[in-house]
Amino acid sequence: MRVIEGERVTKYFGGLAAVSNVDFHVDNGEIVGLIGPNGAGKTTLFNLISAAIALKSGVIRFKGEKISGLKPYQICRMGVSRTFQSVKVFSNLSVLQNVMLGSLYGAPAGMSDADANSEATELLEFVGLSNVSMIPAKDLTLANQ
Amino acid sequence: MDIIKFTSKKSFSIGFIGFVLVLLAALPLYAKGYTPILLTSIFMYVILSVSWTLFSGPTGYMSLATAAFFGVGIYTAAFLGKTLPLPVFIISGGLISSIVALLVGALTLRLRGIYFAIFTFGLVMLISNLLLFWELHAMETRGRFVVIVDYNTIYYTMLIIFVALMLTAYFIRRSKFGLALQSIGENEEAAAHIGINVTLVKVVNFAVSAFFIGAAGATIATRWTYVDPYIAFNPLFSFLPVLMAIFGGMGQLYGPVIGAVIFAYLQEILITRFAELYMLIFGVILVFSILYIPNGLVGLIQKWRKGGQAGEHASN
Repeated sequence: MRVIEGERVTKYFGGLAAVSNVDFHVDNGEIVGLIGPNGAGKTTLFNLISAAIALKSGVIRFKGEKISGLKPYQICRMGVSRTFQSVKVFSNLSVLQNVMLGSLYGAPAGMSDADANSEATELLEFVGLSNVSMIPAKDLTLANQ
Repeated sequence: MDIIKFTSKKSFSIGFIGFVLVLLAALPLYAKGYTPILLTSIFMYVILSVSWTLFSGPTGYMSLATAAFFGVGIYTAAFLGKTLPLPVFIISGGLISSIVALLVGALTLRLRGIYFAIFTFGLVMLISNLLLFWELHAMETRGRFVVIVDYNTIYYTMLIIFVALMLTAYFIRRSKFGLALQSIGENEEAAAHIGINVTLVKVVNFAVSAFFIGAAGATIATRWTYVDPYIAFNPLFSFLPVLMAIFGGMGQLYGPVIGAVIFAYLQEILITRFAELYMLIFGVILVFSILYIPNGLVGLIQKWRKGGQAGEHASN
């Protein structure tokens, strides 16, 4: 089954075609990498998928449903998540709050505060950050961020 | 051990707040005339500055629309005050301000930084001049009289709005809505990609903050008795709340409260004793407080409380 697919995805920056008529798909269970030289449009393609920027033409589908044209938060709630090239943590929030935000808003149904708190605590334990869960995220080492 | 300490501290602060509220609620019984009038004006500034912080504090959007919402509240009281009972026209003042905030917010909250600040300030000028134009051409009068209300009633109305605002602000800070607001201030793009409907959160919060500003405007209008667009939409009401919040510190809920109380009281003293020098003294205090206590009084208090504990975590 196709998890994510794009058809003739195109984006221009002024006169420059950053992404031009790209067809791609990722199947269930696949791990796919995208490579290319600087300026090839890799990040732009990710930005188009997560709707950080709007595409000019083409269609992107997730599990058969069209996601191009939706807002970033809607795409996220459908189950598409992304990270950024430079880490973007909410620096003045605690590590726990950073993770809780994902539990609170990322799921389609939403979650109660208590559930989100316990889920975030478990996740932090899993990655070994529970001892620093209360400090502001900006005080973590770059690797831990 | 820590938990016991925490709960006893918490019940102490609840007790303290309760005590102050009782004192304030009983005020007209033991103080007459000047004191309730002075406190009404202090409460008004507290409401403006806390409301401003409610939106601009966590999100980092610098709103200068306070005077616009305030003026809309004032003019609502001027239009409706003579025909409707007090609670109705005050709530209407709040609601109409909220509606203006919803419209303006939906239109402009995509602007960031300085552009948002300028636009919101432009809004003050726009509404003010539209009203003036309309008054001069359609009504052929400038300004209007507002219904007069007993000063104790105004005092209690302001107190109720203040308490409602503090409760709202407290619960927003603790809720997931508050967390979302903070994440928007930290990094809006990441907030959107973590599943937060950033536009909705911002606009709703903007409208909530405008509600209290508008309600305070409708209340104080009854004390001013005569208003015209220049009085109602005085740009000073856009800047003062910002200054008060910065002076008090935005890190804690009580920051803008302290800032507004001190500034409003100072204004009262300076205006009566040194009428000509008051703006000058005001400005000097402000410059020094921004230079030497950038995190406001709250920052100063926290620094003093923590003592040497600051800088415990290695920053990297």
